[in-house]
Parts: sequence; structure tokens; C-alpha cells
Amino acid sequence: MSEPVSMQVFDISASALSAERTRLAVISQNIANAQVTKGADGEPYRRQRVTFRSVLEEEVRRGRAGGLPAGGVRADVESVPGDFQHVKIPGHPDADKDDFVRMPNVNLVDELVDMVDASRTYEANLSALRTWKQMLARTLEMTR
Amino acid sequence: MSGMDVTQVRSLLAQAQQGAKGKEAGGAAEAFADLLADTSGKQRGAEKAFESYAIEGKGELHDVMSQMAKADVAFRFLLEVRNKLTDAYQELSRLQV
Amino acid sequence: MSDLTGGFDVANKLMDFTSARARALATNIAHASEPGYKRVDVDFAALVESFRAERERGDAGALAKARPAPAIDRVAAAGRSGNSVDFEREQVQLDKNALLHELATFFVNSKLNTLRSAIRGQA
Repeated sequence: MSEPVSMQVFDISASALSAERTRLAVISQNIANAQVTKGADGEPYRRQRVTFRSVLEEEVRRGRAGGLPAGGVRADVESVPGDFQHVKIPGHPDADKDDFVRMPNVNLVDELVDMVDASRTYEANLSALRTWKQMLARTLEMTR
Repeated sequence: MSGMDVTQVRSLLAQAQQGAKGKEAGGAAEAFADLLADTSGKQRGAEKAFESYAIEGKGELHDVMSQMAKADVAFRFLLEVRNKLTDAYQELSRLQV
Repeated sequence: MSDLTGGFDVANKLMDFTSARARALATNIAHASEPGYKRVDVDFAALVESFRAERERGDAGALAKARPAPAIDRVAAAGRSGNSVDFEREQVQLDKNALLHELATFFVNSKLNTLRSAIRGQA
């Protein structure tokens, strides 16, 4: 890319901000659906999680980076596999013959901890971005 | 004297050199020519740095800015020197009468 | 004299591109919530190519012919609603673009001041 490195840094920060925002959106979705015992597919809500990957130069070259910069972050959303929790709730519409209901594999405490982390990371990246922008802006004013 | 361009000053200095008995006038013309070349070089350097950075993404922003600053200072200095030289020449021509 | 006026053409052409890009990015932000909207952008490759053609291959006038062309970004990933605008990314592109534009402006101003000084005969 014929862009100065100092400019590419912006894109890398931006990708991190996007990634954290995706993460936060997923966390919000998990929290919102934590009690859903029967989704559209008839199954309890399955927890979603975000995995972060570095964007490789090769991907950018082949146009498979979705517009993300090399060295940036890519957030992929996936379902968390595993068994659902069986909770005894007599009288629940989705309870089985033994009064057990399958609940989503969402742990609210974990989600909240994750949320705080995502939020802090977002702020950190935003701070880095602003600092970088200021540095360049000041460099432009160097001679005044 | 303002608006006089550099080539005119150089030819004046060359004439002064021919009329003068010492080596000083010639030295001044040569030094000025060197200064001119150096200033030109700095202007071109700043321009290249700008183009390299802005179009081809090479180098660092602060390098571009500092080269531009140096070119600017060099030009102002050149202008000052030229003005001083033309003032000195005026003095000289008054003396010769 | 060319030392004093050189570089104008590149800076001016660059500003054509940065202005066009600023407009494209602003449009993207305006449509950031619109389902199905695909972001547009200006590719600077045309500028780089024409610059190289003029400087390295001696194709005079190549730079003058370069024109910024806003086009739909085919590589940008679309979200669930089909909208391919990433808010943070768009903001950041605006910042980058503005800095580049400002650099070009600074360069042009600097050259103009030098010319004025030369004409006046004093700084």
C-alpha cells in the first residue's frame, strides 16, 4: 500500500475499535438472551463468543480481509459449543417430564466481566488513536 | 532595489569584480552562487520529501516538515544575503564616483 | 524559477483527491444506518500511477489527467443489514484524509509565501 506507515496506524486502531464494538454487541446479545429457553430453532439460546485474529498481509493482498488493514484485528463471532444447563423449574412451559428446563449456557457474571474488559480495551484503543492523531497534527504545526 | 532578481545581482557582482583590485568581490560572487545552489537544493529536497510521503507513502511526516522548514529558512537567508549584497554594491558605486 | 514553483501540481492534484475522498466518507457516515447501503471510496491508486508515469517514465501531462473517481468499495464486509459502513473506520479515514489534505495545503501555502517573498524582495 502506498500509504505512509503513520497513516496505516490509524486503520489498525480503527480495526481494534470495531473488534471491541463487535465484542460488546455480542455480550449484550448474550445478556439479553440469557433466559431464552426456546429460540427460533426450538432450542435454548446458545452463547456467542468473539475470537480475535490478526489480519495477515496475505489476506489483504488477496482481497479477503474485508477492507481491514494488515496488522489489524479481525473479530469472528461463533457459537460456544457444549451442553446446556439443566435447571429444575416445575411448571415451566419448556420443562421436561422431570421438571428440568434446559437453560442457555450464558453465565451473567462472566458476561459482565467480559463487558468491562471490552469497554476498557475500547477506551484504550480510542486513547491511542487520539494520541496518534494529535501527534501528527502537532507535527503539521511544527513550523508555526 | 526590491524585485531585482538574482541573475542581475550576479552580473553586477561580476562587473564589480572586474573593476575591483582585491579578491573580495569575486569571493562574494562565488559564495553567493554556492548559497544559491544550496538553497535550490533544499527547495527541491523539500518538494521531493513531500511528494514521496504524500503520494508514495515513504518516510515520516516529521522529516517532511523539517525539510520544508529548512528550505524556508535557507530561502529567507538567501534573500537577506542578497539584500545586503545589493546594499553593499550601492555603497560601492557611490564611492567610485 | 522552477525550484520556487515546483511541486504545486502534485499538491493540487492531491487535494483534488483528498476533497473527493472527504465527500465520499461524509456520504458514508450519513448512510451509516441505512440497510443495504454499500460504502463508497476514492482509490488513490490512480494518483500514484499517474505520478509515477510522469516522474519515472517521463509521461508529461499524466498527472494532470488523473481524476478522483468515487466508487463502491467491493472489498468491505457488510453487516447483518447489508450495510458495509463501519463507523469507526469511516471516522478514522476522515482523520487520515484531513491530515493529508492539511499537509498539501501547508505545502502550497509555504510555496506561495516563498514566491511572494521573492517578488517583494524581502521575507
